[in-house]
Amino acid sequence: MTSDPDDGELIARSLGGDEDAFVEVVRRHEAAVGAYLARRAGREVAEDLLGEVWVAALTSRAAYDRSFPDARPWLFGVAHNTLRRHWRSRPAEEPVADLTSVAAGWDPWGAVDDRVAAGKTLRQALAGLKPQQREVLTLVAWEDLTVADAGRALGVPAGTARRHLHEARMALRNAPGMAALLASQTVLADQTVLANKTVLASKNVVKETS
Amino acid sequence: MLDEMDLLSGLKDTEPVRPHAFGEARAVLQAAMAAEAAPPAETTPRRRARWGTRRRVGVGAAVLGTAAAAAAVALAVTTLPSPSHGTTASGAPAAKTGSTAKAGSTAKTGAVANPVLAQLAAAITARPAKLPGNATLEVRNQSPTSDRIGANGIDLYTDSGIYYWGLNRANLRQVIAQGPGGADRQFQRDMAAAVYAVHGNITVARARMAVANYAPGTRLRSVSAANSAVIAKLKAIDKAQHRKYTPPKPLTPAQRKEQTDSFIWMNSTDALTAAPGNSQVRAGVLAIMATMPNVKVTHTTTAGQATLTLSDSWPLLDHPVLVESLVINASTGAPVAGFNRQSGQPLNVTYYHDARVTLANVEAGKF
Repeated sequence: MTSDPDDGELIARSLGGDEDAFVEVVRRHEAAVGAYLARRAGREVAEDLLGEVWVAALTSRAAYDRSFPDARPWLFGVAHNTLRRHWRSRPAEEPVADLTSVAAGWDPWGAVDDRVAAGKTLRQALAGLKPQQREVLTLVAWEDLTVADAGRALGVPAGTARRHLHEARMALRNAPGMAALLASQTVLADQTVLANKTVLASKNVVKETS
Repeated sequence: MLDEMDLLSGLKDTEPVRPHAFGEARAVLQAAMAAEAAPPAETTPRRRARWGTRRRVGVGAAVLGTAAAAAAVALAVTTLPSPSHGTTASGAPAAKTGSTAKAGSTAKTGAVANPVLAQLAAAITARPAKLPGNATLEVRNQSPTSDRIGANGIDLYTDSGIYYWGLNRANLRQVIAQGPGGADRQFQRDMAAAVYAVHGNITVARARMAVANYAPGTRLRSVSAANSAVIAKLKAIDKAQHRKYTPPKPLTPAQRKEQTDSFIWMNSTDALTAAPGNSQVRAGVLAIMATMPNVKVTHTTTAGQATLTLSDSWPLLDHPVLVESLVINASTGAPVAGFNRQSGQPLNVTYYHDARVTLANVEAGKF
């Protein structure tokens, strides 16, 4: 029994002329890369740019370090560069890309005031970060990369990525409104846990009495 | 106790990319793979072709047309009666038929056939020629609003008339990095003829534009030789198919006039799309087209902007009749779209999306 080839092996095959091999790499990661783009630029732009990401990856695959079996961080890096080009090429009258509009539609509970307030505070705090800090932070928090892989995606050493992450977290924590938000959300979370425990306890009481 | 990473996870959810978009993106990838795998000769057609090379003209007209146009260069102005296009074989405007234009004279007022184009040309001439950057990046696709790169790739026209083409951004950079090997100067003469038309003799400008698609230095003799080669080829084809060779019929004077009109139209539209950022080229092209009575001008709206649709056809040469149209911005003259209409053929509109850039930035990937 043979195991599936890893991404590095597939990319090597594609360089040898096996087109299906590269399409297989794309299939493995298209949902993750699509989500990466959508979180940062919205669904419409993500759908427009996805093909461009694959073509860019195809063009640059010869430089892929095949010692890495997982191509996802590399593909995030390609997507990151594609997004940057996209933002740079936008007409001047459009606002410069910032994080105040990322993940549009992220919160389905728009009527819930505290949730809206939390999102706004967070997004403002994110917008205040330096781009590399923000990118490392969101790659770790949203794309579930390790900090080393986030560094790989951005082409920076793991140590540098760790520093960016640390600085980003510190900056977020100290951003206006964040301390209050963390405290209120902790209380909400504690109340939820308490409520769940109460429900569980009452169910147990019902069980015991019946 | 929650921390900032927990809070951040709350922003993770977003509207997901729809399934069909994954398929479309893979199709783009596979098209790029096909282009990568194909030998250069097969990828070349994706590059911008001259307008005229996409046109289908009767064999006889095509064979003898080159001689007609070339002869026009030698004669400068030929007197021909009742031109159906208001055009002499030399490319001179109808109003000038029977007269020899004086070199250096503007010869515009009496030659205007399209006042709308003449007024626009005059308005553009008064505007500064230079825009930011030194080149125009152009994406040709089928969307009136999106500049997404499709199968036509990306065109880059420098202000000095050099043309680069790439399948995608990375490929365009590679082509530029090749230096002269990746450059193409096929539109330089069209642009020069247009610029000359702004302040020069319009008759001479038309004559230059009529032959701008020929390689610089083309001489009558070599065109005749090329003609002989084409006839020899026709003879060989007939022989191989066991048919008696029938010489193609020479063009009638009216057909020759149409042929010249066709060349002027073809090269003018090429100049306009190759230098959309150069107001002098735009003004010159419009000044030339203003002398062509057969060019129909219609006020239109394209993707919300006021446009003029310029159309020309050559019924004596094309069967079925082909109508070529170029859509330009009504105030700047910049090209917006182009399309052909021919009976039985689907309408395929190509939209032009232009951005000013510098060659150095494009080469450095900053675009």
